[in-house]
Amino acid sequence: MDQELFDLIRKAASGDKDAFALLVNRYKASIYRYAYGMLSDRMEAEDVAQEAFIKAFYSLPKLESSFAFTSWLTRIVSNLCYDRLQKRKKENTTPHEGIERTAHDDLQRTDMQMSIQEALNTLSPEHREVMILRDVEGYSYDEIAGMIHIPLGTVKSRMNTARLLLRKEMKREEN
Amino acid sequence: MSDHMEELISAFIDRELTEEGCVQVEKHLAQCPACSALLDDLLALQTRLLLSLEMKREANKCLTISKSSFPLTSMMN
Repeated sequence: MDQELFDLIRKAASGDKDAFALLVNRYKASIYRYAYGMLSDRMEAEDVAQEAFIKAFYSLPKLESSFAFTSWLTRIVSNLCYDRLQKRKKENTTPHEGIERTAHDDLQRTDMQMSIQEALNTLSPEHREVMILRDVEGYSYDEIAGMIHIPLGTVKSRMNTARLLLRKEMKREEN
Repeated sequence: MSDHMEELISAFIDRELTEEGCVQVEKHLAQCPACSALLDDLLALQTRLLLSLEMKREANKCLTISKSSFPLTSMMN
């Protein structure tokens, strides 16, 4: 972690809102991507990202080490996503807007093909989570293990299973 | 599938194998079309996933939090 970031976290932890706004700008892309990857709903992902930062702001003074900030923030958004997924399960609802498609998705697919996000959505939240943290956010297995509190070997096996399931799902749709 | 290396290929992509493990996988890939095809597929999926979520982020213009976005003092109690 660079000194500038360390200082920013320390200032934000002491209640400096400008410092916290800078932190938000630094992390909002990855937090939103994570939430969208887990929830497949733009509005819900925005809500969860906002909620995560608000929670972080008020809990930051309790964070023992600034070095743990990234994994701590990821854990906050992860918990919020799981809460939403649990709520959906209880209410038996699906994302409000279904799977969104971008022009890029359309270029990449024919009408008969499943989009990568539709395929991702068929995975369990646990498998989706490790895929997003590794393939999208670029965290190492060790970092992921620390963030979501699972053994390193479990990260490795979940990643492997998630990728094979995703491939199988995409292949199934192609045939 | 016992001769294949499905379980190691994922860790190979993520550079989470030891040097010895990498050599083992590379040797296997050189002579196994099935595992080589698996590697290509997984790399392609990885790229598509990254691009897909990155595009979604670019499309999202709403998430901005500034100092003025903090009418949060009411929540501090």
